[in-house]
Amino acid sequence: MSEKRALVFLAAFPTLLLLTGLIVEPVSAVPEGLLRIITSRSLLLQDYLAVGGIGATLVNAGICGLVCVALVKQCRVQVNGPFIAAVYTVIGFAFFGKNIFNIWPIFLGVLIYARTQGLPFRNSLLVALFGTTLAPLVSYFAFVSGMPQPAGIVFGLATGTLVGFVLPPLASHMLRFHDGYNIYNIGFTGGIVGSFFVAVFRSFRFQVAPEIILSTRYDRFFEIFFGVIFLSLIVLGLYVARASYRKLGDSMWRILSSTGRLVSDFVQIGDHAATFINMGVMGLIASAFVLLMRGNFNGPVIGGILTVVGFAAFGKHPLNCIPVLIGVVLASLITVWETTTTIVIIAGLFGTTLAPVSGQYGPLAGVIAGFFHLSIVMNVGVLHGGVNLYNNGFAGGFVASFLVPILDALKRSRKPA
Amino acid sequence: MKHETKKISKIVDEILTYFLFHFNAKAEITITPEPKRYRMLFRFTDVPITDEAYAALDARLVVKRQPELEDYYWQLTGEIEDSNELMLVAMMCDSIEMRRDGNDITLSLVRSI
Repeated sequence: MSEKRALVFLAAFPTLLLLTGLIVEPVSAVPEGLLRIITSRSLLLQDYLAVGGIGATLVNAGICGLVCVALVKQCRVQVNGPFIAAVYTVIGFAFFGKNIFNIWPIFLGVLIYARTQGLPFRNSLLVALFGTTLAPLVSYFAFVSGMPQPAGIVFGLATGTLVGFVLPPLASHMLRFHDGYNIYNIGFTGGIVGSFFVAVFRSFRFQVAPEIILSTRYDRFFEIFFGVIFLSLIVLGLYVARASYRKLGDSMWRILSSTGRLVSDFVQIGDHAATFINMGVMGLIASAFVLLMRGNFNGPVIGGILTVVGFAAFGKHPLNCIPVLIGVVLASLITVWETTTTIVIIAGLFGTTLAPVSGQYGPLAGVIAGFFHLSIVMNVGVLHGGVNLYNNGFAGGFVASFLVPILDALKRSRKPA
Repeated sequence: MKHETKKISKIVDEILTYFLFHFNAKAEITITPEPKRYRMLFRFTDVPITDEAYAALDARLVVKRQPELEDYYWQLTGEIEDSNELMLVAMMCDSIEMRRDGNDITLSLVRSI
């Protein structure tokens, strides 16, 4: 597939969200909803569907996604697995935490870092896109910290820029903590950075704490909407591969044989067609998981599903994800956490950040990783007060770094020549 | 480019680890620093590699330098004993030539700086 067509593919989904947002609600209601979204806390777990309504939320997600696609185009980077994952992740989190106001300072901070290092921005673009995990810091200081205006907005923008500036070197360094077994590495990095900043801010009497606001109004709409999109991805993959289904089979097999450990770019390991099919299949599996758990299709859950779909181009496939999902469900059945709650369901969806553990050490290791992940993720959010949207990536870093050396020691030495 | 020396070391580490772990092969390595690039020459002898494994290795070493990924992920190179970050190596090099002569394999890598 040509780069131009790949870029059109990348832009198609956010464009669809944008147009849908302008259709499902009167256009006149969108600006007011967007303003409510922009000025909201945006810390975990703030569902923009409940804050701004469905139209404004879809428009917000669409615009955020298109901004990312524009940056990918402007920087002339290849539309490969990592960038597909990054764009879908930003779109997913634009349902609960990222918005058209708070993502910019992070981009600016990364840009300033690149300039000070004498590097082109494209070298740090991936960190910039994923780095919007800390965008809620901007919203918090700008609108809800109690600081007088416009000082609050200025402080929020400055904090976001500073965070963006420190992310690239830290993100690269943090990889060594879990050796690439936690796919959401920026989530782990964001957790460390967020905890550092929040600890300092709490020393100055700022109260930074998670707050849960969730919508239950749009379940049926999103079940159908995303079901159609995921099926369309599979059809698209079959269409792109129409010249040779045997080649498609080989590509799918290479993807399914991959451990998923960073850096597993499925566009390169397989090809575009196989990647699209994997994305569609993973979307259907994630949706089925939510329905089986009797969960709601609210903002965070949609974010979780879309992140799984995005990372189905960059490390996740059914064979390495399902064991982790099973592990989270098993843990929820015997622990104090209620199985059907949104927080447990998103722990399952985002817990697939540990898919490489399953891919490398087998399904049982994946189940164990998912089992421990639920407990860890329920305890680390307090450190950063909800400013790090990829809280599961933060927890996944701890789980992977704890389990991998043990699994490695227990594993029988093998040499697959 | 930053960390250039360390990146070269990690590329060497990754290639060497791969051949030692999978084939326990005898290795000779020559690193040649030049003004604007590094040349890395690996000679592995007595490599018990099958035709299929060689073809798979060749496919993984298709060069596609991607600075947008390299600056972020380079620290993972050479970190895991039995894993293979050869794709990362391919992302970090400008050219890779691999030749096979019986059970001997020669790899020639060039990385511009």
